[in-house]
Amino acid sequence: MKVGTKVFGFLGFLSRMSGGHFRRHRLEALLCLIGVALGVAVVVAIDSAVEACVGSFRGAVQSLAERSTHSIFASDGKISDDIFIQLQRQKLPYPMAPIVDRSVLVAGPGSAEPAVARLMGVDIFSERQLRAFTQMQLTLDADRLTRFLTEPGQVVLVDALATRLGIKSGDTIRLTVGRGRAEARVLEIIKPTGVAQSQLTDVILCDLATAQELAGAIGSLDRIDLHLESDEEVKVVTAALPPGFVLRSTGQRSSTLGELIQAYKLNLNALSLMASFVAVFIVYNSMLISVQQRATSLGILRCLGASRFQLAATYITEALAFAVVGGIVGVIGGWLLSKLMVGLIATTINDLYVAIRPGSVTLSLGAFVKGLVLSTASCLVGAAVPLLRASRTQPVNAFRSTAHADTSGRSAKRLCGVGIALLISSIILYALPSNSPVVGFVMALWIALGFALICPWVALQACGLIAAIARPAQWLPLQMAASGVRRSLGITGVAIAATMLAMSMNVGVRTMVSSFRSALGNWVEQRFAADIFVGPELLVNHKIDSTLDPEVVRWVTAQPQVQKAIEYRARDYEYAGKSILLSATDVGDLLHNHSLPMKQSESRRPFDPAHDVMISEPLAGRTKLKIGDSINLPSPTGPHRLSVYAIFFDFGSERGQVMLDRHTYAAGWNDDGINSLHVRIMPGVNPERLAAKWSEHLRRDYPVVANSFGNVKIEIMKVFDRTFKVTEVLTWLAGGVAFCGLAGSLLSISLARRKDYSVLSAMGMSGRQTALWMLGQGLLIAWTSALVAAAAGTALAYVLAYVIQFRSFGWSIPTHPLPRFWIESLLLASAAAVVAAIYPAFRI
Amino acid sequence: MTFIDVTLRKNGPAVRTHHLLGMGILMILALVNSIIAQSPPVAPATAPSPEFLRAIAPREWNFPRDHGRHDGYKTEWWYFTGNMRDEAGRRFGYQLTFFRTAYIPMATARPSAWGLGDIYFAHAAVSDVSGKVFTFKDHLQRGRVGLAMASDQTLDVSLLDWSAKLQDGAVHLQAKEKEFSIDLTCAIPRPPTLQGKGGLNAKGLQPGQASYYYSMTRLPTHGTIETAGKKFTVEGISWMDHEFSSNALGANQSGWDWISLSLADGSDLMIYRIRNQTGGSDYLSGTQISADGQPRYLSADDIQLQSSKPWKSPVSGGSYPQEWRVQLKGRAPMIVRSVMPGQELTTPHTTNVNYFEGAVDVVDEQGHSMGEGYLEMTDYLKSLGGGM
Repeated sequence: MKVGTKVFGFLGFLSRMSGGHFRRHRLEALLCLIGVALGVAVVVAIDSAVEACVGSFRGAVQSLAERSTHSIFASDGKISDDIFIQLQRQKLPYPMAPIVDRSVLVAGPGSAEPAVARLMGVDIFSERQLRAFTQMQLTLDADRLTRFLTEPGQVVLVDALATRLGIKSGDTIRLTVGRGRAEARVLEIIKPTGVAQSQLTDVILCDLATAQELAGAIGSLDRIDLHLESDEEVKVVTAALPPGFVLRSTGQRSSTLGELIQAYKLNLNALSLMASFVAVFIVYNSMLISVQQRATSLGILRCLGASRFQLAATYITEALAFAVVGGIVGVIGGWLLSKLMVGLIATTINDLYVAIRPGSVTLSLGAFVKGLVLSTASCLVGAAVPLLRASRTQPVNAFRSTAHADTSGRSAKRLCGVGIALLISSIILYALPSNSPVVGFVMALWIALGFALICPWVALQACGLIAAIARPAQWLPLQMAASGVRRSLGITGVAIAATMLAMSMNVGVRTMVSSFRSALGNWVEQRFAADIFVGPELLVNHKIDSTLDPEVVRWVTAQPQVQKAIEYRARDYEYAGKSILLSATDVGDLLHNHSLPMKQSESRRPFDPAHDVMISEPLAGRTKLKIGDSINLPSPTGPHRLSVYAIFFDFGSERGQVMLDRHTYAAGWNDDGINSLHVRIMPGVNPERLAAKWSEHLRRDYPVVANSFGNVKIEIMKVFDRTFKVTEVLTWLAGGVAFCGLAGSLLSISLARRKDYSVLSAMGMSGRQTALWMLGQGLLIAWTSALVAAAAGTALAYVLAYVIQFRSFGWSIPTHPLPRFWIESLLLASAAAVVAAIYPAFRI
Repeated sequence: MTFIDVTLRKNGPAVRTHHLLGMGILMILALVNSIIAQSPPVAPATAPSPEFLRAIAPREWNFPRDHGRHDGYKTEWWYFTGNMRDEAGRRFGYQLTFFRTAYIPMATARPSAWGLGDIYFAHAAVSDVSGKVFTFKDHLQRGRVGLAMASDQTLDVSLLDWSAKLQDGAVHLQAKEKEFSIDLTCAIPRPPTLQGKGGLNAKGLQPGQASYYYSMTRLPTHGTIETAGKKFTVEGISWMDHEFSSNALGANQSGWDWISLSLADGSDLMIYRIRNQTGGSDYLSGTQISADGQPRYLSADDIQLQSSKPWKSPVSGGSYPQEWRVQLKGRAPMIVRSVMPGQELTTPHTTNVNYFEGAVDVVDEQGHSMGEGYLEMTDYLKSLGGGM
């Protein structure tokens, strides 16, 4: 008890000492806290925002599914009525309901902008055991129920959609479904209850017959929903299915978005973790400074009998205090940040994947714990080295006057050696046979760490160089700055590394994005070597989902300004268990007359329309298919064994694409529909004006749009820019983290040398010279960081493009070093240095 | 009669959900309008949709056309029951019923085959009297080719793979399930018997409280019945009812008892009693059919009915009398006895209502056999504790 009291009493003294220290160095402590909090905030924000998006999709799927656990889909997309009848006649003892489920563009009678909604055709009698919200007999009065069931064009809207479009019960609404337009009458606005209320925000319900008629899908269903309770029942149903049909669980469907955006999410998570990584350096830096600043006190404590353990405990307590405060602030900040980010992420998911409408972001316990764990981990890891150093404090330190230069040239060299070894090992890692993007992230981490470890040595060289230049010219402030940085390399080295890390992230990501952008621009230019695009008005999740009316094709083709109209058919297709794009066009002509961006192509013979296909780079990457390999494509008329003739670049879809000849497709899939026309017009004709004219003419009768490819390209680039907005935000946040680190360490170095200043001042050093000295120190750190960051960032850009993006999405992005980002980061770091130098310059 | 149309019990006391669940077959048709609605129908009660035709006057009958579907009427059913025996004397009862409920008087031609005009549901049951096992099943489908339909030219009604078809002068009945199957052929030895003058069968005293109704009784039947995995070749006689109407029941009527008997003397007897909301008799009537097929229509004055020996269903809780004393004016009393308890159908896949439909024996007061038949009792859940 007595001993315990003593121990705790001593620890209490130590913690008072810590408190006193941080009270005196409030700003540094604050900057360190902001660094930790920012690192945590970024991770929490990304996590929470992505979860809100995925959760809203899952919620919507589950609300729509209710009790249905599984659905039957056709591999070619459409289930004939007969299949449902056939299954019913087998009398499988499970609830089963036929569904027509289409995306539609709906416009109310008012002026509200038309919205994409979901037209769901149900058989309320089959629905009884599956869904409550389709039970119109509970919602509609007898008269309306009869009309719902027996009259064409009668629909029911969920209130959220009706409110959005200003639609009332009794209104007539206009629907664009597939390639047709239809009018429907709103019988009733319904308010789904329970969970469904927040999730069912875009549903138009109608009878199955009505849906088939509105969608022009007579005789076909989109899926059959079932309620199955066991694996045994799943087996029974699977066995009962004719070939070409698959049974999927609702769980599978609700996790679809998670799978779809897996690579996207991984990228965001990795970037956010990089920000935390920078935070680790900041904690390290801050703790190290605090050890340095208290070297004398620690020495005295050791003289007074404090054990190494007790000193270590002080630092662990300090680190944990930073972790808790930084963690809590970070989690709350992250939650607030996620409210901003969810919009950006949702826009990207809406642009590229599926329509979602995320609700408000909630701060989950998981995110809270994750944030605290992350802050604790980064603080403890960051504090580990300073802690060791503190515990090794010798009593003799008490008699040393100032913080000493604790990183000799030799240790800088040693660290540099380790850094180079890390860089080499990351190259070895790349050579290892693996397809995982995670390896890419490990590589990126090692490269970042490798360059960080090189920083002190580079700084040493830079100091030497500056000193060598300044000495003959008698530039005292510069000489002092160089020696100051060199003498405090233990601290400045870390500051340089942290700044470098953040800037290299900035340079790397922006170089990659910029390369990607120009690659995409070139690709769009080449891929769509046409002037005008004609396609359906309704794009579902930015994919063309419906076909053009043959009359539209005839009209466009017959226009006098048309030089050539290339017809395209593209549709979702299931290949090797994944959804890919199956596209059909006149491939021979495409190869002959256009410069389709090719990765690799069969050069010995021309394209054989009946036996060859081309595949996209992402598909080739995923399936390991090579030129000359055969690919087996099941079709309604039997399997088609085709040879891979070429692999083309395709930034349009990460899912993968198979392109085959139109006639082969039409015969094999009994489908001569056309989704879009790529039209080349006569020279001298203005495509914008012509497209506008066509649009005006065609839209009178058909839901189609004509647009110049110039405009299409602008739209594509807009989507691209939206997609990388989050990435940009992340790199700037990492920059913010680094700024805190840089400012904190400059402040520490400067304040630690106040005594030196007094002496120098007495010796006649002017205030201007002092300011120059401070600024010189800052700029030296900033420029060294920027120099290393240029190299590290470029290396990271290559890893991002050739390893991470390639392995995540299957795209190879031609990347080049882009010096404008080096200069930008140099300017940025300089600005940070100037700002960070001002405060200490005034204090001193 | 077998079923009475109460399709739109639309005014009077609101019919609450929990009542509907236990109201028996009578309510099937009430439910049809808002099928499985489990919610109170809301339109005025005895005022049918103006478009639907009503059974008001005797009509001209034309067979086989009138065996088929009658558009314009809201509800229609084809009802087969029978008592069968195999060579070893093992006794079976069976029931196969098809119901049609129209949402609109005439189906409009629509591009989609799912375009709805009517829906069908069907119930089938087998009473294995010797084995004391009662099995049954119910199905519901919307009317469309491939799922459920009835011809408007002849007897040809089907729901999935259950069917009743007139072919080569005989009716073929088929219903195959995992638990049982019915595959029978009923010969038609004589023309149908109209249940009322011109087939107009009153269900109450008000005009329009009626249906069109005919029966084919004493149909020599043979075929197979499968139950508990065993197939039995059977012979016996069947009873067929075909009835159609629009909103035949009054608001105060609720539940009924129906008895069809094929007597040893060659005559047949059909008696029905419609009960009022309090369980008392609201309308009592029947038809006596002589051996040569001539009907004699009975009024309430001609019939005395008395029930006894209730059996309480462990499934629904309904309490169904298992014995009825039937006395016609000027004739000796008959005791109608259920051949086994438990002949109750629950219908979770169609209407969620429960009713008793089972094979019966007819004996005199000394216990001598007088014939066989079928007994139907609906809406007995309410009588729980109320004492039928």
